[in-house]
Parts: sequence; structure tokens; C-alpha cells
Amino acid sequence: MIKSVMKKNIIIYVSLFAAVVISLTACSEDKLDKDSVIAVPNKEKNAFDKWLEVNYVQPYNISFKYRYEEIEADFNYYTIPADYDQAVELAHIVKYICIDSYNEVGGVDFTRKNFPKEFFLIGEWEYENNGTYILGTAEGGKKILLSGVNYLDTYKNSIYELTGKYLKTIHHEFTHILNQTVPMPTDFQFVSEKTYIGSVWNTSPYNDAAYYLSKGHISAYSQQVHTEDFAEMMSMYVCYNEAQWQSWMTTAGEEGAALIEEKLSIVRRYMKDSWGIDIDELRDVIQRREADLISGKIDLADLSI
Amino acid sequence: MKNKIFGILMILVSAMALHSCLLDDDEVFSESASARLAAFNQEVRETLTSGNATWLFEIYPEVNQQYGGYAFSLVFDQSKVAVRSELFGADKEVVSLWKMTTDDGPVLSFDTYNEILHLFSTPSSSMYQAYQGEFEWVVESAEQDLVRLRGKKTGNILYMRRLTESAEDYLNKISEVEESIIMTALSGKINSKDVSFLIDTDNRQFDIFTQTDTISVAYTITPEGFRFYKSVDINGVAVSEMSVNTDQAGAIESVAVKATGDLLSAVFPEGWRPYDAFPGDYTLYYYTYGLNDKNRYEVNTVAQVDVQIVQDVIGKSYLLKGLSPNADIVLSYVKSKGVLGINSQVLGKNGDNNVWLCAWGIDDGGNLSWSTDYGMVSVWNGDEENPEYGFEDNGNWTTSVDSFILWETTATGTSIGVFGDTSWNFVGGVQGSSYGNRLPYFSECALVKK
Repeated sequence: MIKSVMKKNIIIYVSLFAAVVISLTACSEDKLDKDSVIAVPNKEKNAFDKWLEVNYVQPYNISFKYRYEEIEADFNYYTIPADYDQAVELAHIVKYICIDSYNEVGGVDFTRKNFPKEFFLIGEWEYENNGTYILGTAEGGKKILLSGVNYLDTYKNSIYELTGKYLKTIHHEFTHILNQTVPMPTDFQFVSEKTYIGSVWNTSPYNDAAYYLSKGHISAYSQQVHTEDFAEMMSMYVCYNEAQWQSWMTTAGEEGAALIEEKLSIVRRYMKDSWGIDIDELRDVIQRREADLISGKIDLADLSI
Repeated sequence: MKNKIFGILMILVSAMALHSCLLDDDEVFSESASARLAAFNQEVRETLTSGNATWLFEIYPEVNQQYGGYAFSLVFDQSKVAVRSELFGADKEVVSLWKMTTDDGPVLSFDTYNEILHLFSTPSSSMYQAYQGEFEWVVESAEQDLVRLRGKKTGNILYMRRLTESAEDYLNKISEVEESIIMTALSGKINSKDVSFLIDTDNRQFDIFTQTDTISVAYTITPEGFRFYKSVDINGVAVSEMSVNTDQAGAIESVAVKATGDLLSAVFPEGWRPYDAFPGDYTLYYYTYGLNDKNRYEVNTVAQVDVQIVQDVIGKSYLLKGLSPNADIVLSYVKSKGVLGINSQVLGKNGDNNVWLCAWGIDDGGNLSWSTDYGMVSVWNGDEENPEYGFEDNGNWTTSVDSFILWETTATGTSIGVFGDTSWNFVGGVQGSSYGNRLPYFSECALVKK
């Protein structure tokens, strides 16, 4: 008896299951639309777009976004678009001082493979509510945000300003990218192990040059964490000339300078062994190119292809 | 019981099995959402660029429109936009790029920097959020002459209107209306009930007081008068625009509510006088020189003279007749303050040379100047029935002006010296002496209307 009830139940369940399967079967087949639902607007390319195509996209697959796209901006800040003419100039500067320098020292394949793939430009700095502002940031080793582009005309004739406001950021972020591909030597983090202080690096006394240099840090930001220290060592070294470097070493004093030199020798070894790049040669090339720029050798507005 | 369950199950199964196979899933739209969005964006592009139109764009930054609204003009081509604004003067035009994008529906984005258009969005150390302005708007509708937009950040509803005149003409007219706003308030009736408006010209806001409500609304200036950010209910009437009536000097004296035609009167700041309050006959009492007991001239005498103030350039200036024997003295009407101005000016010629009435600061070091910005302005006693005016330094010069003196220069402006021709002695003052060519301590004078 129990068996026959169970049998009956099984039949019911089976028929139910079958019915469900039948009812869930599609009645007809929807044909796929041959047109994509993603519409790509047909944008007319201007002279700058064409220049970027030839100088950034084709050789390096780098997207140099000079027109504002909200999705690329940081929603924590009030930001504005970059000025067209100054974006043109900055594209020339980044190419001549950064991309071409790495090409010259590391070879074009090195640049193609490793250089950040996206630049996004905004006109103003990213202002905090305390009057300070952010110069530039990088995301995921791919995208570099360059802010304050609308001040380029104010700063372009001073290598010191140009480096501090725009170029150093690029070298700094690029170092991070290299570190993500080939990790930095482990001995680096132990040199200044005890003087990494985290986010208070921009407060007193840590933001005082005499303080951080004497502790063996090349910049205030170097004190945050060893990964930033590495990127700062690299970018500060290649961006500034020997006289400037020596002046920092003097301020650093014997002890501070020794620590900085120790870290620099690790950076030098890493760049040579892992990437085949001589940072002294790179610095010379960058200095030479910066001098070219200041002497007006480069026509920053030339969009001829 | 078992049968019952079985029965219910069978019904359920049948219901499922009888599930319709009719193909009634017709699409509501014939095209995909993205295709429709692209088509709409194309329509907007065509609307904005058609006929080389000049669009008036009234922009209100900030979510509560706390800074008021301002007129911008835009002329679009396929990739560029030429922008002007009342805030930069009608003559200045800045060109930048624009695009229609789809990141938040159909979005109009001004995506390269434009000094004029990005004014409200440009942050600084002291204003890290700028004016909380924006430069990307969702296009809600685009008709031939009117485009409705919604701020991506603020949600403010803004409009672009096709202009039938040039941007320069429109913006210049607005400047004129702005200059005509002297009033601090408006009062009158709307829909037969009392109402008063307080105006904040710095932030372009009206605070409107009825017997029961207080309403605040931001405005923009139009060639006719005022347009509100949105229509507001005042005494049961929807009000969104007001037109202005100005006096002969171009000061707004009343405002008409467009919806009803109700007229509201302007309330002026304390001490402000309209242009037509000044013409008339006056007695002028002023200091002049007299001989003291040592037979030297000193300022010790009060002169009295009958003078007239008559219209000169309507709304702009008057002539003071009767004080100088050889010339009328030009008095300006300073509309913003509702006062008379008396500045350095050429009164006549001596041969080829100029005879100047020069602003002079006796108590402030004795400097004099023939710069026509320097001089004095009137101060009213506040009495409507028996008006009387004194004068004080107009504040345009570092030297405090308290007097006037006749001075001679060459035609090219080289100083020659004090002008001593006694035939130019001021009427009522000391005669036969070059001291008669001076108005010492004119700041102490009294101009009393008859």
C-alpha cells in the first residue's frame, strides 16, 4: 500500500516536472539583432585628435584624453575641463620629456610595453576643503590624471615648476607600474624601516625639508611607506639636476645622505638589472630634453603630422 | 484527501501546460534604447546648430540657486561653441569644444575649458567647490526655439532660448537694465492684495512678502526686466516675469507683473534722489575770502548767490548757472547714489589755454588736480519739502577734496598756474582779486532750494 502511494506520487512529480519543463520551453526563437545596442558616436576628429592618433595611439596605444569625461574624473572634487591649447602643449611636453626619454634609454619596446596607457586631463587642481590641492594621481598602474592643465602657460617656462607640477607625477607613477611588473628588491624596505609614518607625512614636523632629509627621505611623501619612497627616489632623481640633488644631500647631512644614497643604489640596481635602464643616463637625457624645451626648441603647438 | 491534492496538482499542471504561446511580446519601441538615444542626440545637435542660431542660456549655479541667474549666449557649430556672458561684457567671446554624450541620458557637455562658461565651476583654494556650478546638462527637450535642460549635479532646470537679436545687443540691453536697478525693494498689490519684494542685487534674489507667505526666488535680468528661476505663486497668481519702467535718468521707478499687469513701485535707498528732484532755483551760500585786520586775504566771509540748476543731458547732467560769470558749471547726476557730482572741468579758454575748475584739497596738503574723476558729491538734508544740499569729497582721489580753484593749463595739459583774471571772479564772492577765483571749503557750502 505504501509502495503504491509512493509510486503514484512519483508519477505525479514526474508529470509535474515534465509540465514545468514544457512550460519553460521557449515558444519561438528570438533572432539576434545584427546591430549592436552599443552605439558609438561618430565623432569628427580635429587636428589634435589626428596628431594624438599618430603620436600616442598608433605607436604606444596610449589614450590621451584631453576632453572632459565625467566618468574619468574623481567625484570627490569639483573639477573642470582642460583648455584645448594648453592640452596640446602638454601632450607635446609629455611626449618629448617622458615618452621619448624612455625610448632613448630603454628602447621603444620598453615604452610600448610599460608606459601608462591612459592620460586624463583636467583644467584645475583638485582642491581640498583646507586650501591644499592635489597635483595628479594614478590608478591601477594604467591611468594618470594630470590636473591643473590650465596653468601650464604660467609654468611651462620654468623647468622647476613644470617638473614639480606635472612631470614628476608621471615618472613617479610610472615607477609604480614597473614595480607591479617586477617587484622592487626586498632590501629596500628595510633601509628606512623605522621612519615610515603613514598619512601624517604632510603635517609638522614631517613636512619640513630639513626634517625629512635628515631622516634619509628625499621628499615628505617618501615617508609614507616604502613603496612611495621607492617611486619618489626614482622620480626625484631623474627629474632634478645634480646641483639640486647635491643641495638636498647637504641639507640631509652625513647620516641622511648616506641613507638616501643607499636607497638610490638599490633603485639604480633595480632599474639596471630588471629593466636595463641606467638611471644616470636617463637623468642626463631628461635634463637635456628639458633644456631643449626651455630654450624653445620644441614647437608645442605644432600639430602637423 | 489524496484525490483532492491530486486534483489541485492537475489543475496547476494544466494551467502551466496551457501557458500561452502567442507571440504577443511586441516591442513598444521599434528601435533599441541606445539607437533612440543616439537619434535624440542627433536631433539636439541639429536644433542647436540650425540656422547659425544664437542661444540665450540663463545659468543658475548651485542647487538652491543662491547666486542667482546670469545670461550667457552660445553659438554652436558642429564641434565648437562661441560663448559670451553679461559677466564678461558683451564684447568678449571665448570659443571651446562641445559634445552630446550619453553618460546620463542625452547630455550636453562643454568638455574643454571655456573661461566664460566654466566660471561657476572653476574651483580655487578659497572656493574649493567654486560656485557649485556645472558644465554638463541633461537635455530634457529640444524644440525649435526652446531647449529644456537639467543640471547633472544640481538638478536645476534651465532653458536655452533662441535669440532674435545679436548676443551683443541682448547682453548690452541687460547691462542697461542692471544699471537701472537702484531700488532696494518694491511694493504694491498683486491680485488686489498687498505684496512687497526685497531685492538682493548681489545674489539676484527676491524675497517676496505677502500677507500670508514669504517666498524666495532667484532671478535673471532680461532686456524687459526680470525673469524668475521658476514661476512662483503670489496671492494666487503664477508670476515668472516682470517688466520695468524707468525714469528719465534710467532708474527703475516701477515694475509691472507680466501675468496681471499689476504695478509695483520702487523703494529707493535712503538719501537717494531721482534726476528730476534737482532742477530749480537755489540760493547758494559759500565761503569766500575777505581782508583781515592785517590786510591779508583769509577765508572769513560767507557769500550768497542766486543760482539755477537746469537740465543738461537728460538723465545724466545739469548746468549750474549763476555762480561763474563766464560759464555754466556742469553738475553730473550720479544715478547709483542719487546725488549731484561736481568734478574738475574746463570752464573756458584763455587764448589757446584752458581754464579749469580744479578739485582742490586745502586741508589735505593743498593738492589740486584737473583729472575729471576728482571732485565732490552732494549730501541731502533728507527734507523733501525744503531740500538743502551740502557737498563732500567723492572718494575718487587719495587727496580729500574740500575746495575748487580756477587753474590755467596749456591745451595739451601742461600746468601754467593759478588763473588770475579777475573777470572770472565767482559771483557773490570777493571781487577784483585772484582770490575771487577760488571756492575755498566748498564742502561747507549750502545749496538751498527756493
